[in-house]
Amino acid sequence: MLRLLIVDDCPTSRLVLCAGLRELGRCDEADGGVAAVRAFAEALAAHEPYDVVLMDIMMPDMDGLQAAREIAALQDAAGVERCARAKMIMVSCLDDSHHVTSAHYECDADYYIPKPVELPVLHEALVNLGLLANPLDAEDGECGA
Amino acid sequence: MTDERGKCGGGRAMDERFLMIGQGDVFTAPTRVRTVLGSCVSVTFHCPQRGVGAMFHALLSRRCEFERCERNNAFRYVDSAIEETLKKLGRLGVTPAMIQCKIFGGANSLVREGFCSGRRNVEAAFETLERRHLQVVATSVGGERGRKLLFFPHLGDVYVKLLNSSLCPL
Repeated sequence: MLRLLIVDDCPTSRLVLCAGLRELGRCDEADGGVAAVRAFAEALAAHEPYDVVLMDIMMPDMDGLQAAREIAALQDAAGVERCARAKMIMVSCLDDSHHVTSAHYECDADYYIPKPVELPVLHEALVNLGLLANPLDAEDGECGA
Repeated sequence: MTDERGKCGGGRAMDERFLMIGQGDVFTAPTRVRTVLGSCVSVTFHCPQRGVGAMFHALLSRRCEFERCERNNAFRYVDSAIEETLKKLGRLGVTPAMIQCKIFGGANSLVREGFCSGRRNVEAAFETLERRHLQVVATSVGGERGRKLLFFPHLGDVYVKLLNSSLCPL
């Protein structure tokens, strides 16, 4: 079962994502960037790290880009190898080039999905991040997650 | 029509196509479209209403910056590849409002930096897609590893695996 952290200051957004992902594993929620970083640090310390974080960007206390940077720094400090890191999926109503490229190239986001989220697209992202079975897995041994 | 991702109606194997650098096409029949990307960019296009799709594999960001290199191959450059694809889809009656796009590739190449920047390719893709008011539903770009893609244009599904090698192909 996957461990998922869903970060959004909008309770409805968290509810919708949790409902769509609950069957895949345990969904924890954080209502802002500060709470997300704290939850991630606690999970790391308890040796129960998250497999994936779904991160909103526009949040009042700490925005999602900064929270993603801090989560990456936590994993660096804990010596987590790149391939073992939690996958970071940005989920935001901001769909402009600046935010998307900043998320990918400056905050190590693995995926960016603009809102409103279509669950098949989110499911496809989890497949492509190596968290669910991928049709390409069976083809050869040259690729990794 | 397709009954699964490997067979067409009647059990016939689905068409296969591999896109090399500078290639792109529109697919009106169920097809398994593949490519391998490093700092290059692929944009997939899918029209749910018509069940058609398109994809290209572009090496460089903007045609105007490399005009002398190869004038005739629109799919070599991200911006002209998008325009060419829209032209082809338009001939099928598919308008930008009907299309969902996904963007892949743009890895940080450890070699050829400056000549072939993944980030510049991705920025060119966004700039052109925004100008044409195309909807982007997902992106997976950047990083230091190449990507192997499998696209089903009639469904819009894209499967990706990261390559193990840290040295990207183009």
